[in-house]
Amino acid sequence: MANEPDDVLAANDVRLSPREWLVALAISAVALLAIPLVWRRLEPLEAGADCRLPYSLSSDYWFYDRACRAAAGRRTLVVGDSVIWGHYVPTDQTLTHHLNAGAGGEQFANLGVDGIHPAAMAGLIELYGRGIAGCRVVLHANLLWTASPRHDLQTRKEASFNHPTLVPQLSAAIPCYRETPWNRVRIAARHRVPLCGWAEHVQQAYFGRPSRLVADDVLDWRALAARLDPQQRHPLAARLAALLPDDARDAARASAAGDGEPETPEARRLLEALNALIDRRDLLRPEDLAGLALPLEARELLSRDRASLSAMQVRRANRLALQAAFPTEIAEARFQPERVAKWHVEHPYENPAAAFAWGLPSPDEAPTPTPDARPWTRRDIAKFNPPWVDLATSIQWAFFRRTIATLRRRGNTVFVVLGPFNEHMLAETSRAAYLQRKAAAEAWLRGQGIPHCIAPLLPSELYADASHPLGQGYALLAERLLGDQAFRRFCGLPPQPERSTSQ
Amino acid sequence: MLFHTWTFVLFFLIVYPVYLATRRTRFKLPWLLAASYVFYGAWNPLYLLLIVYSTTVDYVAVIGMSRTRRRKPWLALSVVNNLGLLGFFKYGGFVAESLNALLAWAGLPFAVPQPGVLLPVGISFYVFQSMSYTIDYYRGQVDKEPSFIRYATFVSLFPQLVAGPIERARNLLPQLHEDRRISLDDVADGLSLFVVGFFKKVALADFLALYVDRVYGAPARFAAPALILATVAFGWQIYFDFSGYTDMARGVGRMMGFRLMLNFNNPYLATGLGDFWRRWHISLSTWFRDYVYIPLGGSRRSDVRTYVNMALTMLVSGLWHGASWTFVIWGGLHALGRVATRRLESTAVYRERVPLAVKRLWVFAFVTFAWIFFRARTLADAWLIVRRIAAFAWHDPACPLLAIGLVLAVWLYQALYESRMRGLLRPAPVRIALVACMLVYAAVHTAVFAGAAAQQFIYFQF
Repeated sequence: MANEPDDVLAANDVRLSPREWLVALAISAVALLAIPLVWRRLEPLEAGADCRLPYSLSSDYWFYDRACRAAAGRRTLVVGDSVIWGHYVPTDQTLTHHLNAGAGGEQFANLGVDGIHPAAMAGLIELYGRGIAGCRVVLHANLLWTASPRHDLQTRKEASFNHPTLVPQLSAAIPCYRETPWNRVRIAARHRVPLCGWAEHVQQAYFGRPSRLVADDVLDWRALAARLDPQQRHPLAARLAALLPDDARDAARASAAGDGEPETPEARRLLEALNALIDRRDLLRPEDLAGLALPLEARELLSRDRASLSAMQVRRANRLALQAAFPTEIAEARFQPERVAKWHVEHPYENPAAAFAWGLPSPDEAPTPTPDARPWTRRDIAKFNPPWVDLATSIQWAFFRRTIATLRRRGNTVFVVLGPFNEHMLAETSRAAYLQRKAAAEAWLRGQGIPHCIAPLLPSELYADASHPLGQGYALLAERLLGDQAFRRFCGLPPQPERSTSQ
Repeated sequence: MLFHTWTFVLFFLIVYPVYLATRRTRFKLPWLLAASYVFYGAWNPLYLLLIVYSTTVDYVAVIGMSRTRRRKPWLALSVVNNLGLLGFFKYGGFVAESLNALLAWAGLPFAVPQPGVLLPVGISFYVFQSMSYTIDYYRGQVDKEPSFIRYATFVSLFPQLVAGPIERARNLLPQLHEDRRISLDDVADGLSLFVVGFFKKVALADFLALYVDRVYGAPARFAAPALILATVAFGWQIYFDFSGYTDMARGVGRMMGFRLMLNFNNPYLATGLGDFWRRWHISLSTWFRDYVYIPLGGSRRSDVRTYVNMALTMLVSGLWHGASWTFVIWGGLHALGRVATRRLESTAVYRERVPLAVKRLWVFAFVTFAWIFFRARTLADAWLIVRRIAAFAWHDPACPLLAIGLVLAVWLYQALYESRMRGLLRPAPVRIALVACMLVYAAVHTAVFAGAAAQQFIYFQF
């Protein structure tokens, strides 16, 4: 095999002949292709009636692809942004829940994605929506995304927006999206390599649940230090203060009186001591949790026998309790890609495979920060007066049309639900402009022969903001949709004697 | 441009086919030179001016030597120019800083201005490579290279340009003359080297760096166990990082039909400090042997003079690595170690009676101790680490078990390779399985745990 018998290739040369290389590459390629496929089979996927993408997996597109394939068995799939996902409501109050309740059985599946917008949705369906090819799709159109040049991604100045990796990378379709050419190529390539999608899934679902505190997690050092006082009224704060070693308590006192800098020796000592407490299995007692608004994940972990939890799970539960007790002082422990890279350093003695014991996040978990699910009128939200963008020049509307084209090309039958936008929130001049856009959108749908309906304007108090209904709003919307003959016809539901708003 | 990035893959996918197509034509060398300059200019196009200047001076120096009997002035021109470049760009700041400290200590109200220039990537490597050509020509060990393009390609050949191996003209220049056939075996061997190097870099070196950087970033926050483990981890990190780069460089070179020299040979299996330096950064060690140690007199004179020569060579080697007192001390420690153990290592008792494992362990312990000065950010940090280790106090080191496991696995593999059981690694299924495992592990590890940005190689800073 070697060219010259005395030729020194390298120490410990792992040296293969061309033929052996082919075998090694073939084995590696098969293994790398097999990992995501096998994972699909091994990882349980919740598929209940009210199932939706877990909030913390909103950017896990590989998982969305799985969710699509799992939902493809339902009669009708409802696709859209956070209005469909149900940003302000739990899973049993979403639109699809009420549609299922009204139609009976598990006919409708929620394929909404929190935080997505039409430009990203077009990419999501194109890249990850193949699993629903040929299915019946109800597509939600939210004209909020055309409310202003900023919403419409038209600004010339660089702007950040949700799901940037889903927008077209190899064209300049979005003026405010700035990324280096090389990164664009990298992003585009990653979408097409299943292993990359799987890796991002594993990161977000299993390795993206930080529990230890790092300096950046502390939002207000002085306030945190001040609250670590044994005289504190809140039991968990008092418990922490009581458990802190003397030098850490001194450090807390010094930090409380200091300038709030995170890089002081006192702050570092305090952080170290808090992390030591986070490691403790006996940190949380039932009485310490009184009055705390614990997130679902913490409630679920704490409902189990503490002894049955792994060290990682104990830390996570403790951390979640801490951030619930100190909401303005400690940041929520969210997925941060840069911390995944340091996972082994943060969990030095853990077997990485143990992370998979977490299971997937629950579809019931609430968004972070927890949304204020009160009517917009009671949240001091003022009416707004957006300039609105013409649909003819709108980037978001163009992408919405592209999504429909993609779906139709794949053999999907598509029904569009336009709205329900919160017109109560619009100033009078803006409302007129909005109605013009709505009419233009409807005219286009009619012109294209796309079955659709205009969602009714709900009562003002049933909206949480400009476009999201509250639970009762969804119930009313579902009722109206199920009363719409075109909608029923599209969904294969038996006709109902009801006045139609559809065209 | 880093070998383990997609940018390099794209670069190579363009350069390689054109190279293969032009290999037997007069466009081969211009293409290689252009590719090498693009590779180097990717860091900063201004650096190109420097490499072209250095190349031109040495080329002219040899032409000058070839046309006269008084060759020393031309050699002096080359040496002074190369060391001047190195001195200005690499040591200017260090000298100014040290002088200012001295002036301040003496209470003199002067301050030498800092040069404030960036250190061009790889300057220490290509300057040494170019200088070796003029010295070898002066000694009559190589022929004059008449073609400037070929000479410039020798100095800047992209696989080994920024971090070696530091090639000699007598090895590489003839290869640029040859029109050697590139066989499938060359490609397979090159790929083997590249994959091993890639694995060392992304799966091992960058992984160990996470722990090392954490501890060495703020050593005052850590106790002896963490400081010891971080130092051991750094010893392996720098080995994986640098030898990984060399493997990739040699692999790319091999695919292009070049045989670049071996640079690392299981250094942590060395049984003496002399042995260590025959296995670690071989191209630099032999450079210093040939151009510093032997010209100083080598071991031909008295014992004392030999020790002085060895110590001087090690000190210069330390300074080559970086413009800081920590590197000088690192070189000084190795000098002391060499001086103290030279005679011991040559005794029959040491060679025959001391168990192999003991010899390896002590060499590893010594080399690892010296790494403290190499890695510490400042001299104060290094002293702090040494003091803490000496006054051992227990505190959980929180070192990832996976890191320890990986290092032990590699050590075991290397020991197996150098033992009589080496035959176990020979069968094709074992080698294929090993390569497939490395590929899959590196791909999965990189995809899940590595950040988006590729980590620089440690030796780029030198």
